[in-house]
Amino acid sequence: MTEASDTVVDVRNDVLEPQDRPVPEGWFDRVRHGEAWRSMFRHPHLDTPRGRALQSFSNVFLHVYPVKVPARVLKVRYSWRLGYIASVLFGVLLATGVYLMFFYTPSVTSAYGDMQQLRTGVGFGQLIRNVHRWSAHLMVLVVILHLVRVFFAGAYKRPRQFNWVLGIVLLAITLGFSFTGYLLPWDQLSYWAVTVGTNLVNYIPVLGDTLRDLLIGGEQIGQATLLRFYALHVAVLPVSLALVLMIHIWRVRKDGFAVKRGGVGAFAEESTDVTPIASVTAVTNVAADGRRVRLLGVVDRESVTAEERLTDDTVFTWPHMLVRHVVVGLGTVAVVLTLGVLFAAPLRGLANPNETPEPAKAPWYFVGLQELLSHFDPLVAGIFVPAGALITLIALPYIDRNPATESRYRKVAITIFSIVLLVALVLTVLGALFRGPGWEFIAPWQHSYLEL
Amino acid sequence: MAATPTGPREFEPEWLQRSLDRYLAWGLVFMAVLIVAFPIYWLREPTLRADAKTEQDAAYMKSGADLFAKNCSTCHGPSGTGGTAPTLNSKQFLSTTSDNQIELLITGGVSGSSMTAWAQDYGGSLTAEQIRELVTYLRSLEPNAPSVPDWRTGAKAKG
Repeated sequence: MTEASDTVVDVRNDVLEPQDRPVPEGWFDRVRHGEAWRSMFRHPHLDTPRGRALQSFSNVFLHVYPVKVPARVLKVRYSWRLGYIASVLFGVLLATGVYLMFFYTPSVTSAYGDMQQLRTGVGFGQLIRNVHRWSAHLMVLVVILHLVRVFFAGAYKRPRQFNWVLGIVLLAITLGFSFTGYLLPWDQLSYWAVTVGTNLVNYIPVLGDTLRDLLIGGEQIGQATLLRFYALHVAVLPVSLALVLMIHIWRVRKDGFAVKRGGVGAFAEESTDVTPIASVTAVTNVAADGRRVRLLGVVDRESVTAEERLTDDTVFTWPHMLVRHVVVGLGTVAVVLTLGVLFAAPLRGLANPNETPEPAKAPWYFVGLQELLSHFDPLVAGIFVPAGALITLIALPYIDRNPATESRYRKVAITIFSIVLLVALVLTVLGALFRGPGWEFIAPWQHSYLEL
Repeated sequence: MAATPTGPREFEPEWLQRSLDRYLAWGLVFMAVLIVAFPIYWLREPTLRADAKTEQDAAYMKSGADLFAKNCSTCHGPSGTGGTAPTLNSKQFLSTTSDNQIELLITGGVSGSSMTAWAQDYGGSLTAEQIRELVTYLRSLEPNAPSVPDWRTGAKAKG
């Protein structure tokens, strides 16, 4: 390692283009100093504060990240990285989904045969389908956990109210993704889960029948429904999710990273009071040891204040945040691949409208509603409860005006949310595991009717 | 990998470096797992697919035989040996008719004969999957099918 320490750039003398640049040695070094390489990467790798900042500034992908992040953001317990994991799963779903599209025709006569062909004739077909299915279930779960985490952290409060609303929209899109994808294999499981799910729409007063017809394109689920769900699944929803996710992530940056203790409200109010300043601004960062780092870039006033306010505990995104993200992303891929190798995605018999399986269950995230429907009037359980829950969730940051984020000052909000969460969990577990034919109570160890 | 005192990282606290190194180590572990696991799966993949195919054909053949006994044997004879309808257990028939053709014949029937359309889409009683099961069953007869050149006239061939 003596060579390496010789070429290390001294912090006190960080220059991008040293006059006495060493003569390239070996083929790799020669490539790195060649014209083609230097036309792609604007400057040599430079491990100094300025070099690390430039890595973010001069790279379109890294530009998603701020140049520096508060050190506490790097801690796992800060966010459990759930939002990031959800977006990695979305990436996995896009990649596997495109592969599945190559071998799938959205037609009632061939869809099911295509599923069998994936298992018996397509290279890696079954594995890709397994990974797609388990990633989809996992994504719904992770998005819900992300919501729960954000609630308990109080991170939906000012200035992040609207990002919470976008998060609810993303949850709705994720559920729509999972639900439309559920139908595509065209087996008994998908046919009847979607039948039960779309029947919920019937309970909407006045508009119910029309909406259901619009959704499934006819009296009962058939070719029109399959094509509709396919178009939603592969075109409408991916574009919508990408768009809203883009705004969601952008706002995470612009609203400042969630602050766990104190002062966040003050931060937001101050930053919005700042008079607009010129768009080209010199930002001066003072590093821990008192050195000054100068960045010249196009920044808006909010990020200027953010940079200034957070200088004391910030670290460079490159490499700290980036390495963590790459590793967590790899871990996520490893988990879904392992699930895909170990567990096959279910495929029951061909969809048959004349033969209702007992019990016919909605997908797991709707089975709580189905359970609720067996206890209450359809109008209450099918409409008031889900619509009320959705509206309350969207309006939550505007209803809960308490600025505190610490749990001891939010006892009412946390108690109500926990009770609702617990009820939803109990209903889902009851519906998914403890219900058999005729929706009769049955213990899962006697016979499990859980279908994923 | 402790930071060297004169190294470029002296502007960052040491705990951050240690934490970064831990993540890098985990990253290497995940990469190693993926790099090792992928070729293993790749090697096994064709076998898995062939097994799935064998398994599916066996299941289809079994249910196809049941369906044939219930729906077809009255006219086509038990195991397709012929009756009032053509002999299907015939080398000539099976070797000149593709799976798709058989599927279409069962689905839509033969106009002008007592062979009706069997698919539910055309008022019959069979699902598309059941018809594929029948095709798999008939195809499974091919290796041992006897030579029956006049298979079209099932009854005469038999009598």
